[in-house]
Amino acid sequence: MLARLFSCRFPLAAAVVAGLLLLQSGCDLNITNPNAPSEEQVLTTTEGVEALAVGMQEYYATTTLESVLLVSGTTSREVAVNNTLANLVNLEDGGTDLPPSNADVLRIWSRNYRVVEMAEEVRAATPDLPFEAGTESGLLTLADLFQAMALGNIAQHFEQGALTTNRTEPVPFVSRNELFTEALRLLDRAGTRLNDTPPSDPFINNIRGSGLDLRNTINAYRARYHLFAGNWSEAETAAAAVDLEATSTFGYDDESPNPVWNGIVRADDFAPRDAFGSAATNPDDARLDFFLAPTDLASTPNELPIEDIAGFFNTANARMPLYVPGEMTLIRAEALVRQGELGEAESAFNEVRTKTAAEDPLGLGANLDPYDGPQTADALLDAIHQERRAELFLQGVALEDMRRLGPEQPDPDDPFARSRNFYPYPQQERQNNPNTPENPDI
Amino acid sequence: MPVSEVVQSGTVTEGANEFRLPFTIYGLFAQETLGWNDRLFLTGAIRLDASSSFGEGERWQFYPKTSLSYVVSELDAWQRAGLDRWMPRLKLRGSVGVSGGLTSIGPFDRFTNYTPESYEGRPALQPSSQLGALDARPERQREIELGADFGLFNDRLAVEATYYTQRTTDLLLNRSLAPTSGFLSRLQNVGTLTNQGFELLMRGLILDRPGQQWTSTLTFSRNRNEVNGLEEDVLIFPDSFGLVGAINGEPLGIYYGSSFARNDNGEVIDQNGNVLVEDDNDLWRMRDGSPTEPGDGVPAASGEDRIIGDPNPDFVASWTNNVRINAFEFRMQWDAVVGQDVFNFTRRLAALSAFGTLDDYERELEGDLPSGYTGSAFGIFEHWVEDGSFLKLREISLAYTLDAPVPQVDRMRLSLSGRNLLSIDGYSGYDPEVNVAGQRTGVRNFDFVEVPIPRSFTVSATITL
Repeated sequence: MLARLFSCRFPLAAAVVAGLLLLQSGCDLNITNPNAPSEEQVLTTTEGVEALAVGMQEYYATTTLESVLLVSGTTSREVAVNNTLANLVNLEDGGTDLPPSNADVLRIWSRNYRVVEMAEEVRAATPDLPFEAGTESGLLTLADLFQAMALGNIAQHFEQGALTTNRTEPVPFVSRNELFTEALRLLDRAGTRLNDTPPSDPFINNIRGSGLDLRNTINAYRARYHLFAGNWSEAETAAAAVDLEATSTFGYDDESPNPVWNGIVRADDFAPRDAFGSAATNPDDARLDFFLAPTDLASTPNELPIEDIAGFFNTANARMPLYVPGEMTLIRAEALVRQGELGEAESAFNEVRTKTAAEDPLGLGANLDPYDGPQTADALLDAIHQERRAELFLQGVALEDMRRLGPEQPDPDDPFARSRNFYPYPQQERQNNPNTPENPDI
Repeated sequence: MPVSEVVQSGTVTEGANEFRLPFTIYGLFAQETLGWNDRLFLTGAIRLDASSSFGEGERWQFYPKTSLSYVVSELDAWQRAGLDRWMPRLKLRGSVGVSGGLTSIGPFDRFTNYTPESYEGRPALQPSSQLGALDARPERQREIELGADFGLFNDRLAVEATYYTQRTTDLLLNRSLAPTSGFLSRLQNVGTLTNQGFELLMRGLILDRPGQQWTSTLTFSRNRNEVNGLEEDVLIFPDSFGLVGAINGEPLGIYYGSSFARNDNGEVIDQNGNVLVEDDNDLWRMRDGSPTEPGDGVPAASGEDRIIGDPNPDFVASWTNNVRINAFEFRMQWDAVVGQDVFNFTRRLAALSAFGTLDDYERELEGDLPSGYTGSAFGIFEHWVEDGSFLKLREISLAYTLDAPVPQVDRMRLSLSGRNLLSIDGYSGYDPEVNVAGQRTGVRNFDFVEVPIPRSFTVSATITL
């Protein structure tokens, strides 16, 4: 039996020799991916980290903002859902009809945390690479700014969130106030760094988004988040530090289209509601003509009156501001009311009300008469809420405004009332993170 | 742009796209069969495989196997005892082997890949939403198989019976991640999977005369599948609407989702606590009385996710008859799959008021179902899991062969066959044998507005010149 086995030694030997030859040949088992670099290749080269910083801006400007502006805009009633996809229908219905398994709730959560992850990678990799001082400062500032904006978005839409990402351990949750505090810390640090080490020309020309004004954006978001956190005097100071003639915008093109145009015009999933979705909009408000083009259409399936979109969102390439200068004046006005300075507040707030398009660097002007209502704090806050609704249309802050300046709880029968206070935590987070808190009822 | 060589990594592209998947696999094997006296056969083999899809420490795998078979009916003792008159053929076989899945993941799935984009004419990179797993190991499967092949009644009845048990370790799954990790999914070796079962084939030559033959074949198989060794309680698969997962002690692919609220006796209850029972249309009705108040007859969600269904069948069987009478051939095949659940997403979506396209919403509008029923049921996934057992007439075919009908033609065979002619099932959708996830083993029996398998008829002529 054994003899018979080894009598076929020739074919066996040939097989062994052939195998050894094959191993010696050029057939390599370590193949580099020709389609996309791996993380190791990206984070150990200056070109990789620079490209990642550009990619982070592109992802935030297109993908993340599409969720933040349009999903939040549906809940705040700025836009109506115009498609019968089940997850959109549930989003507009809100209340208890919005389940945690909803895909749009997942996206508004996950897209912001992807930005946080990218910012953390840029921040970790940059100091070890041979960048010149101005470029390193620019990259770290970008990382801080975008992480702050992402955390701010989470804090505006969820009761609690995570401060950082973690690939191996489930992250702990903190309150939204702590998220704002962290965002402010990052913005403060970015502002200081920008003053100490101005960004280099290669950074400005090749990495930073073309219309991004870092200094003013940092101060604008500091003002915004101080206001949302209730730090009135800090909000006022930060708002005063912003140059009202400067603009800070995201650029778009056919490959990275304007996210609001993408969701409204290209996909037709959403449509802007008449009169900014508010019952108190003044019909003479010139901002209506700026943002909307009138039509007689109604949305599907809930038959809400809608218009066509214009303003910063009318083409795929339309530039979109990270903040509008009017927001700063309105933040000062609200902070002053909260601190009891009603007279000063009213004059600040009238600056926005009476502003014409020609006086605004973005062409946004209400062109209304000065305020002549009651001089009480509550009346002024209502009027400020109305101004913010129009001036900050589709900036993603309307839901936060409705909670802070509107009724305590929304009326479920009112088509202008917000359909939820906060979103439930996405099911995918709960399934994989035992720290996820209870979902808010509404 | 570091590394990336494909067309769409350029900064100005016009919708061009290119994807390359190079990978290398090596395999060496040696196999030998030894026979003794035409009675005992022993086969042994070893394989050494490597794949570039896995990381350096994990890519070389060694797979041995061995099998033994013994033809008992050749034994002198068997023939002397006269046993060969009622069982002329009996072979016992057994085998043990190890195999694996070296090509089960894509060539670069183990990396965290950064997708190239361009923004404002500058090169950009964004991490993929799948986190890398450099230490991913290929699965290893060890299978033990025991079987017997024998013939009865002068070999007119042939039987093949096999029992097997398979154990897969280092089960490789693409599992979902918490979005606060910065990613949405990741490959992970997560535990073990066991499959145990048996298969039976019986082939009977019922009729065997010159020019007339009838063979009837029956197959039956049963498989029990169980996942173990997971660290988490539930591991949810991505791209499964969050409804399919792996749970220790349960079969792979179990449905896990929102469930009915139940009382202490385990009975389904409505929003006011009344007991509901299922009717013939898979709808739930109050057991005692009719709806009078809001909430009556409207099923309530328990607020918890539970195991709500299992797409794995209890058994699979088929019965085929082949009859030949002179120039006619007739074939008929029946298939049965019994005990599996199907997720009827089609019906769930159609019941929602925004679509309202099928029967259920119409019933609610007409008052047959209480108001609010479809809205509440939409959020209870357990409501839409149905029994998908079926018995299908898979094929009937009839053929006729003509010898030399004309001098130029040697033979002509005409046949008429029909497939998927009849389905006997209790499923309320069109076809219980569909799956929106295609051939995927993790996610099965999801009827998400799927086109049913068509009934088809074929007429054909085969001409041999």
